[in-house]
Amino acid sequence: MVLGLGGRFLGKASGWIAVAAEGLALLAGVWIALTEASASTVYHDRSFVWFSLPDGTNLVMGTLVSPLGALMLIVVNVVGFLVVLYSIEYMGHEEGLPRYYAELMLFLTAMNGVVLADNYVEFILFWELVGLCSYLLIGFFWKRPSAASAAKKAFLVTRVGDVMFFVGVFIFFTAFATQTVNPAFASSVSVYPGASCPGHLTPTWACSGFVFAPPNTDSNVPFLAASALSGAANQTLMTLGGIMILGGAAGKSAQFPLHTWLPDAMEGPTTVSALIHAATMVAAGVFLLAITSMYLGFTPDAALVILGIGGFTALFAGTMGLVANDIKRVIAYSTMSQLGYMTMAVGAASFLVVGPGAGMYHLFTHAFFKALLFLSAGSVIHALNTQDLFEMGGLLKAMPVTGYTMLIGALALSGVPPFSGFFSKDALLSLTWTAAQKDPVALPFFLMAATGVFLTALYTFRLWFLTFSGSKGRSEAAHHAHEPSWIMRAPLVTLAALSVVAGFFPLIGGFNHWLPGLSYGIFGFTQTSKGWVFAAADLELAIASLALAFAGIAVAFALWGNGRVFHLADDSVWKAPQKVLVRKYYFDEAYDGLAHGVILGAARVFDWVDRYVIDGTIHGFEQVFSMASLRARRAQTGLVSSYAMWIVFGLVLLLIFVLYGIPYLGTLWGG
Amino acid sequence: MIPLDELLGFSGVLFAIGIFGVLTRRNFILLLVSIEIIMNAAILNFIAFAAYSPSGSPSGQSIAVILIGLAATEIAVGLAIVLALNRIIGSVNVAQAMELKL
Amino acid sequence: MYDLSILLLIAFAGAAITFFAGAKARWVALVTSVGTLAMSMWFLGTFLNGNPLDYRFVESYHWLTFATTNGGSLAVNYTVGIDGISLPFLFLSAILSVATVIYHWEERKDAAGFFGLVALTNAGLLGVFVSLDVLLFFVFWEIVLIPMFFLIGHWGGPRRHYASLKFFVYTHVASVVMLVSLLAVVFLGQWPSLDFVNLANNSQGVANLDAANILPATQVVLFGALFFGFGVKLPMVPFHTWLPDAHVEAPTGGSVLLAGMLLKMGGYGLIRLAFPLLPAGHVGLEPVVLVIAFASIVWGAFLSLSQRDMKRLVAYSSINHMGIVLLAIALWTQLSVTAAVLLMFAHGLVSGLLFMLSGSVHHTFGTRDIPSISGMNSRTPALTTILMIGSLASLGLPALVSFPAEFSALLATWEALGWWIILPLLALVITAAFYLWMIQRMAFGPPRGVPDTAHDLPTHELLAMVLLVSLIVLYGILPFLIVTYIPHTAIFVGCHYGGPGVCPTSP
Repeated sequence: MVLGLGGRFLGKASGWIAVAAEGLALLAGVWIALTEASASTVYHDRSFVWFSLPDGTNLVMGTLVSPLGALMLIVVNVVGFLVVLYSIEYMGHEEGLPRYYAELMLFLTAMNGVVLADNYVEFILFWELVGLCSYLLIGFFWKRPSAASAAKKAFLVTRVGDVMFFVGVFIFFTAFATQTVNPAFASSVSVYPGASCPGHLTPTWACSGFVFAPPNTDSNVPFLAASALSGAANQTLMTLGGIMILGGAAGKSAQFPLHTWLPDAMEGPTTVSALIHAATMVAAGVFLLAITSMYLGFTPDAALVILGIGGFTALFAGTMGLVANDIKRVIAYSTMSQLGYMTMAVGAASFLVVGPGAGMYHLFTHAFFKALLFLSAGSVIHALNTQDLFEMGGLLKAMPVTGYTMLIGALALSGVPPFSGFFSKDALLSLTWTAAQKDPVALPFFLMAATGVFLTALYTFRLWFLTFSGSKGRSEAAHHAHEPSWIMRAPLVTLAALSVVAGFFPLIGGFNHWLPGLSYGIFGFTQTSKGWVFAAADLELAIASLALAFAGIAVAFALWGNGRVFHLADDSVWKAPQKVLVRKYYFDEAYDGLAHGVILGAARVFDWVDRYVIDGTIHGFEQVFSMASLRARRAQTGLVSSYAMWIVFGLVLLLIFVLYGIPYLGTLWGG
Repeated sequence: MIPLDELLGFSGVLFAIGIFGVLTRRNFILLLVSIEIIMNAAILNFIAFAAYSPSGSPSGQSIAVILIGLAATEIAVGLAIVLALNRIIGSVNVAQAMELKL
Repeated sequence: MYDLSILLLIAFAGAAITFFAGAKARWVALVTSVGTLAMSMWFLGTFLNGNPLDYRFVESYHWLTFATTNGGSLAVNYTVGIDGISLPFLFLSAILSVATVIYHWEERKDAAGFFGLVALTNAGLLGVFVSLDVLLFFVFWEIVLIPMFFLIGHWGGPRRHYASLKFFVYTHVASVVMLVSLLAVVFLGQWPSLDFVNLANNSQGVANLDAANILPATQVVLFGALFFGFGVKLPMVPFHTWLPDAHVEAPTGGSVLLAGMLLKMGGYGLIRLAFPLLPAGHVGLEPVVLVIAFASIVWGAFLSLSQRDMKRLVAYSSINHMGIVLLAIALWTQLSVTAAVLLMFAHGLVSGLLFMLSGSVHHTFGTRDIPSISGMNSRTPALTTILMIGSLASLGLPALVSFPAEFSALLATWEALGWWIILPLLALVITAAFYLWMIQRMAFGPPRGVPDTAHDLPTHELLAMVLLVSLIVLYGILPFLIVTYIPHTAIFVGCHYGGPGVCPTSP
């Protein structure tokens, strides 16, 4: 429907062509999203049969503009447009620009495809293309071995997740294929008036994941009749299905334990990092969980696992962010941590059987301030040509626009009102708190997430103070820093503005159904069918998280503010934990060991077996035969008389056999 | 009429002489002669059995005629080989003609 | 009416003329292969008219009749015809031979012989896929082996004599076993003719091959023999070691046809003959077949990971992919057989491309040793780009042709075997790993082992690859273009055959 925009253009013009194309895509995306918001029906087109299999399965390529999709459409295209615009200057002096823009456009196209896909197979198709593009873009500086290696790592790690995702989809096939005629499901499909999900076309799984709790009701009862899927065996299978989907999402969204590719992915250009972290690649994972959340509502165990993984990652990534010295890597860990929050929120929502709005809300706000952080970091890198935080400092004077916009981003990330991150983080924390009250298993993960709030503020402001505060820079380059041109500043300012206002977005009437289930806590107010109601418990939570955020900022200021540089003393007891953090908990070593030691080792052993045992056996046969034939050859003396002798000998034997042997055998066999 | 036993006995003696000749002689021409003797033993058998055949079938006799023809051609080919051998290695001793083996 | 005969005539006459065409040989070969391509595209265009279960374009002429010892008679016919299973292969064979001829446009060594052998291989392949008679099938089957033996033995690499002999011994032993067991099926089953379909009845999907005449125990033995005969060709572990050697030594065009088509003959034979003819046999041996399939998948994947020679890597990855094909065939459901055919079609295009690539790498850089080339993107961007497309296609990226095939095959595996799917999925990850590792080492990084004199692809090689790439993309984005044909076969309705899951609707 939209966007066949990837293409190879020539020369520098390619950048502007890409900007124009993405601008058009932005307009189209916004238009589609607004249409969705005002329309009474869901646009759903399933006219194109991709291929049909002889068992009656039709794989359809369709377009579904769901509320969540409309939200994502705006995120992807706004961020995409700004990033492409920013690239014009940022990437201006690099080689291979047409390739860059072509890959970037394909990336955005694929992401739009993910957002508009109407079934899981189509989703996988675009999802893999997203993975491919991130592979290509991370490896954009292909001459650097580290970039090539990071690209490979990103692809492989997400591939492991994808494989799990495949299994999840297959489970959906088996779980839902038998339910095409389930009346409960059929009636649920029509809850959206006009949402065409014809049961006769495909197994209903194709629609199941994409239809959400209807807007403006607080029944929040998912559509699938729980009874249809009850039964112990089914329950186990469905839980596994949920966990497999989580595997796919964890690969893409860099959740523990498939998180290792994300920090390395910083080898790509900063613009690509911004895109990957804000709008495209990693968002796809959370989006997947969100569209599957209705299914996950039936699998509380899987939902709890998702909640747990998310909460753990939120804390886990935050600790690593504390010690990173590369400006981009700090932001990368913050992404990982924030994605943990989103995952946790989707898990909690599924557990509570409400819409995944809170997580998507955070995805929405996060997209803007994270893109902002990356682009301003890019602006710093552009000016200084270094990514080491300890070579920066005191840049606020030289680069005020970058500095203040980044401050807005940092405040939003830390969750300080009135910036957007506060609202969304508060929403998802109160959701998780509700979940934790319902099942205490979730409580430790809620506490991890809460600790994560403190850490987020701490490392974010460590980053900001080290970069901008103080009176002078810590390196020669930092003294000559300057602001970039308006092409780079404009996206920064736009994103900063969006980071401020995005938090108020759900308050706008007509759009709140884009965030289904977002009914908990906007600063103590709760949305119900009767409007916004004040709830004191949520206010306490909000104040607590605010206090944590401010504590983080205060500690950061004490340690690194005003140009201070805090290093651990060599004999500090914290040295050992710091080392563990710097080495990223040794996950890279462990996975490398697994890949090189175990798998490659096994491959070598297999190769040896193949060459020497299997082929050796064959050669053994060959040797036996050639030895035997050498021996046999000696019998050929060439002497006619000896041949004749053998002939006579043979004849005599034959005669004896005929005369005595055959009658004897005859008596033996009873003939 | 000569009894069958005597005919067969004579044929057996001829066969044995032939085999003995084939096994002991090194001279190609004598080998050929021995082979002829073996063949004649076989032909004699055919004729003997044909004569005593209760159905009076002529198959034995006809095979004997064919075999005589075969023997003649064999001798022709054999002698040709002898001549060729004589030309190549200058002898008709088969013990010296061992070049055909691998 | 005489369409298939005309196709064969074009192919064989073209091959014969090519041998004697001297300097014009390449043109004759090109015209011949384009002719067969045009014919097969015409078949694609007109195929869908008609009863889905009928063989199309059938011709049958009586040749001779034997009297059998039990008083019956056995007719030997010239019977040809195609259905949805054979049509994709027909098309694939024509495409690959066109691409091969173009790729080798500048071949200097005994060019007439080379192109003649390529054309003859193509002709034999077309014959295999159209023949519906045991004897005819076997004759064409053997015709394919001979040119391949000479292609490897004369135009191959340094160890070509060893490789060609190994190839020939392996495949020939397999074909002898295949012939003997096929004849055993014919005689024990008391067939009236050597045709393996009863043309009078095929619209009901009923074959005349009454397996009921054969005891189940005998069927198991015969199936084992047939499975061996076709499986060596496939190839299956542990009878696979001829493949890497043959590929490494074969000239590029030989590898393309070998991987693209000769391996498919094994899969085609299993689908067309071994499984339908001996239902009790494949049910009895199903565990063995599955174990071998899984072993091939895992073995191929792991071995690819440890290869240094690019061509060997691609060869082992073929073993992996054909293992998935074997798995899909062994499940023997409509879905899985469709997936198997689709997978073979995809693999034909993709492995053909990859072997062309390794050939080009070899004569651009003088080596195929992966660790000794680095950063080739700097000198040969076109080659690198196509290398990436080929590798990504082979690892099953969506929007490229392998994805729908692998997806269907995995879905079939999941439905039939459940969690055993982990093994092919593991192999999928490893496949991705070795291709990406290869790309990382060869294409990226600082240039090393890349001479400044290295040229990017010559036009004719580029053209051949672009032909394949465009098809890979086309069928990846619009897979229904080929999937539509596959279910047009009587094999799927032969409840008579009694395989598991074969009998969905009709009694």
